[in-house]
Amino acid sequence: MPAPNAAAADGPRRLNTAVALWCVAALAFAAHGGFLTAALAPGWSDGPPEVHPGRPSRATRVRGTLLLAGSGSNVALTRELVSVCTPEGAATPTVADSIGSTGGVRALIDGAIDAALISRPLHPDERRHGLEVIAYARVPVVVAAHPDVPPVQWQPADLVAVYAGRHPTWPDGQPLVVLQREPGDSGHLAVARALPEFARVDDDNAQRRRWRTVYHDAALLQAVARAPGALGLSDLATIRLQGANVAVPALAGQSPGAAALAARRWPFYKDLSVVLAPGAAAEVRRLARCFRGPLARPVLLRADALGL
Amino acid sequence: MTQPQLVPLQLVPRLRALMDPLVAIVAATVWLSPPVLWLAFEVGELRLHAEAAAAQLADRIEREVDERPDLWRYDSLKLLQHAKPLLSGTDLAAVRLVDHAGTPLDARAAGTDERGPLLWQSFPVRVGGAAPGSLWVATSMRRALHTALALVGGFGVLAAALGALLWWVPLRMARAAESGLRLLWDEREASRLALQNHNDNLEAQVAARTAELRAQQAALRQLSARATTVQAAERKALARELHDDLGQTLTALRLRLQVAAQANPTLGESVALVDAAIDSVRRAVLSLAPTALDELGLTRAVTRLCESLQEEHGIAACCNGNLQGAQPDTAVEWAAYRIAQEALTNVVRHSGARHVTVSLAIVGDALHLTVGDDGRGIGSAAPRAGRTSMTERAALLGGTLDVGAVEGGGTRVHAVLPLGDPSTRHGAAP
Repeated sequence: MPAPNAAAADGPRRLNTAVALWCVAALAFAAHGGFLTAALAPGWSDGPPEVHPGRPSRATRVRGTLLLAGSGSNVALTRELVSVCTPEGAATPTVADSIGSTGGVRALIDGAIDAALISRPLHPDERRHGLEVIAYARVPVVVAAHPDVPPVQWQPADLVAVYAGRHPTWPDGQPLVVLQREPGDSGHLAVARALPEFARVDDDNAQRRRWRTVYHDAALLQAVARAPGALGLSDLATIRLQGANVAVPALAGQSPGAAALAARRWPFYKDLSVVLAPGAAAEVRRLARCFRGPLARPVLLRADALGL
Repeated sequence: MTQPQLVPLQLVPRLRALMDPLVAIVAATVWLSPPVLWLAFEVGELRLHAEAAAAQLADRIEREVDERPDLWRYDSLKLLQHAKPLLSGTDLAAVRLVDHAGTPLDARAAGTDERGPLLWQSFPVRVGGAAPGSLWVATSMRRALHTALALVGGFGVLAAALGALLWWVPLRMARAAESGLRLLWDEREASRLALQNHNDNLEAQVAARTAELRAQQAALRQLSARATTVQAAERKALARELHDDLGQTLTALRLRLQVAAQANPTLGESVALVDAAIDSVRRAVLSLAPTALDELGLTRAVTRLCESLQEEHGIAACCNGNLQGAQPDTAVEWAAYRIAQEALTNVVRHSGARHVTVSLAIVGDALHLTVGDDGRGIGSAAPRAGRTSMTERAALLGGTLDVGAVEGGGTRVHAVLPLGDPSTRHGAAP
């Protein structure tokens, strides 16, 4: 298609326009990229920048009196035992608030405490540290309920039904509020050991987050005492020694206690133990032996626990 | 006609050179802007949610730390388990707790399923003015990125469709326009060629007609010249007859009447009448055929006119003639003489001039006669019979005559008389 030669003079100008437009297009793409980078860049990383990989954080041990720490189930009973096992004139060992059985073992391995208190068996990865486990008491795992709930005549299967949500109310009609512990809690494990169906329901509850979860024994007892219609699993020794204002329903017509445990009429229990590190101090060993000795009998009796 | 130099028009390539970047700009805007903006706002929203969740979690952890100032880190598993409800159903992917030195409290972290790219934010855990640790919260970008990618895909399709439309429609129109222009150009070329042919034919016809007209004009001019020549010859012959016959007869009659008047004085009046008749004949003879033209030639005859003007009317006349040896046709000489005679008569009758200039010159193939005076000029008066006669005399020979005012006063008569074909000059001498 021919055209007047004057059009040929537009060539450089047209080329400049095209180049300018391509530059604008490139700027448009770059602007999008820059905007996206500015929006995403802060905090975009594979992990916390300040985290130093390696051995987990450990506490600094302050040498002085003996320090025992671990499961909340052990705390109340162990404090009573420590008080009777400490020689007169000697410094009373300290029993710290609950850091859990796992936390207690780790603190012991780190050397942050002198003895760990556990309410469950050691895990395989814990055993390889050569720890010494000294069991000193068997405590009933019971249902702790709000003090105002009506009396019930439950069978163990009813406990499964309650945790499965099939009993939404108490016999008087008030709502039944279930409080559960975190997965791996020794009380739940004790019930699950006796009632395989409870284990399935408990796992299901944990996955579905059906009930409100409480992470410490003391917190559970406080919640049960304050929430009308509430119930949860706890141990009888803590209830007895702390004087918790909770009701403890019987199961299958049996009331929990040391006698029922000894007669094997109460199926739910857990063993409380002291864990010592290799080369533990003599006074710690002496203390652990005392927990199993005659000085501990009255305390165990008062706690309605069975000595081991 | 000079043809324009032609180059290819190339509408479509030119338009494409501009449309390609324009389409890229539109596509980039349509394609990327919505996902980028959405992702930016979504990330901001996720950050806000993460901040809220982290603040809530940090508050709970601070209470735990406050209860166990030394051993809180060994309860970290439970502490981190506090975070799990916060992570459930949200975009929070992980929570990590580190001590003041940046060491992790537990090898395991709450929310261990790392869902795609993570955005990390940290919050200090403060207890009693100290910061024994800090909480790190990771927000999963997986859902946001998946949505953004879906938006990229969706708007990419939209941008592609829009870009294709923007690209295709103008180019299609440009192609159509180029085809139309091509047709118009072809038609224009065909029309131009046809017009050129018509023009050539017309020019040829005009040239032929012009040549024919010129030939006719030449023939007419020749015929006119011949007629003028014949007329002049006739007038000369008539003048000669009047002079030779009537004039001699009247002269003889006067002599006899003069003799008879001596015997009879009453015949004196008859003698006077005869003398008047003789003068009339002489004037008629001079009018019919100026003898000076034959006897003296054009230049001298015109000079005689000037001299007569000065003698008879007292008007200073200056006559300049330079015919450069040329010998115009009798008809041309007659016409020039008569025009000069008529112009000088008009000077005497109408101009009131005191000076008159008459010039004769051969310029090219024409005799130029100019009569100028310093009189009152012609003004805007309508042409008189004398001027019309002069114009007709010039036109009869194919010449022209202009009469106009002279700057500063006076009138100028300028006649241009073609000398004609040399071969035909003096073809019919009077």
